[in-house]
Amino acid sequence: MGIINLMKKDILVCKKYYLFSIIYVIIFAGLFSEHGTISFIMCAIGIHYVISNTGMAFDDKYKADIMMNILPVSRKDIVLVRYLNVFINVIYVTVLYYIAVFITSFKPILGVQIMPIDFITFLTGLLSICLFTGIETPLYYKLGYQKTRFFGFIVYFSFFGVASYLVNNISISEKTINFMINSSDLIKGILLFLITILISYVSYIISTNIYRKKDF
Amino acid sequence: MSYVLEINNLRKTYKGFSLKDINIKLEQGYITGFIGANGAGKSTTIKSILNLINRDSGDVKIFNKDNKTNDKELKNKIGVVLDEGYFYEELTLKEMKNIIAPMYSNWDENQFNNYIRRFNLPIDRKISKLSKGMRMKYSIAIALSHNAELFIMDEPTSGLDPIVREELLEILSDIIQEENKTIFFSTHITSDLDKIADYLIIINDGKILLQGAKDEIIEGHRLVKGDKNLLTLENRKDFVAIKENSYGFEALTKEASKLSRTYGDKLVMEKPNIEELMLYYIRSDKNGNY
Repeated sequence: MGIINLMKKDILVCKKYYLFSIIYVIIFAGLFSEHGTISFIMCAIGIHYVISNTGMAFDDKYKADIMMNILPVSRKDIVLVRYLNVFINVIYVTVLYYIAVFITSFKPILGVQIMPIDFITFLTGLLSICLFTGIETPLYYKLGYQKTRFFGFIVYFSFFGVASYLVNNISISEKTINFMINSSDLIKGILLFLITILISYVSYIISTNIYRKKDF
Repeated sequence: MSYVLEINNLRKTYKGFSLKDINIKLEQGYITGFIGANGAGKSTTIKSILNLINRDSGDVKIFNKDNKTNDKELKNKIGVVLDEGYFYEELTLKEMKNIIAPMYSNWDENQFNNYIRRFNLPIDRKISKLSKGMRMKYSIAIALSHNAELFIMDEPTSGLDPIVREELLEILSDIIQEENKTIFFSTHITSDLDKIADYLIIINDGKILLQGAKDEIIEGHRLVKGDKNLLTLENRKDFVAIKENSYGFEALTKEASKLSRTYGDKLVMEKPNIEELMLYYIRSDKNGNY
């Protein structure tokens, strides 16, 4: 119950930014419409970055950790919610993205038709955000929002750099991926999912240990 | 005897400040005033009780259970009011309540609505638009709406105008009418405690200087005024602290009868108020002299 309410809290606090993400999806999915994989991943990372950092900024501004820790909620649950939010955000972006796909499938807007994504792309988006969150969250708990936001900013734009590189060298990256994983989509999917869970779990354990010892 | 709150040998060290072997026991059904100057250790003690900070040693029991291992269960029974609300100010009162209410296993929506009406709080207004007094009332409404049995309040009257303070004290008096409720209330405004406290605890520089029933403490002390030449090396030991000027002295004593027998009407004695008790004890702790 506590976990669900903490998740609802994060959505409520960032409700404006969830609405703002609709515009984000339209712009980024449109800009990179020729590359379905990249456009989805960039939407997912971008929207998650904006929402999670807004949540952290509000928590920092209003010292929300004090409020949360006087409620009957465990510290473990408070940390866990940061990781579960990744899944909420990826699902939210996927829904928005598919609304854009659906609309442009009837009539391209400004000549842009957004292409659907496959399951592997969805998992790659999830893995990218989990990797980002997996590094950022323990740092956030250790150093606080003010110091971590610069790190987040750098990593966020590094992802964009990598994504742009992949757009320009898509054939190379596809070859590399095929070389690395020369197997079926199911195996690739399972592998990506396991890596995602592993990264999130290790990061969650580190974050919980930091947060448990924290004084407010 | 079981206590609502029992703190034994609590220690917590920060750079430049430490809590030193804090021992506190609260009985059910009373208001305990926790007083001390700013930086004396009131908030650190309260944060230890609420598990907001990790103690170095000692133990904190609430309703006879360790506050760390039973954190979730105990927080359902505690109503907390802090000097600031720590709410998301972008949200309305209703939105914030909707976040908090489901966290408590025994949230009472009717009770909450009653307090919102009683305090005249605009439920659809953003928290950022509320005055300090209204925010405090909102905190109190939240704290009172989940059938808590222990209320922990850190400087709830600080920064409030006299009318709102008076209103708040009336609310606390109302709460305590219910037999199973207990209030632990930190403040540096001692006049609040003259009105409502049953017990007093004075803290300074991280250690408890005095604790007990308010009336017994006041009855057990006297403020003494007299001519300076009555002070001797021997009788200085009978005073908690002494304030001297060129004409005479004023001091706090626990040995009123002894001094009265020796000096009779050469000394003027009167009951101290809580502020005087606090000031003399703090000065005594610092240098033994006011």
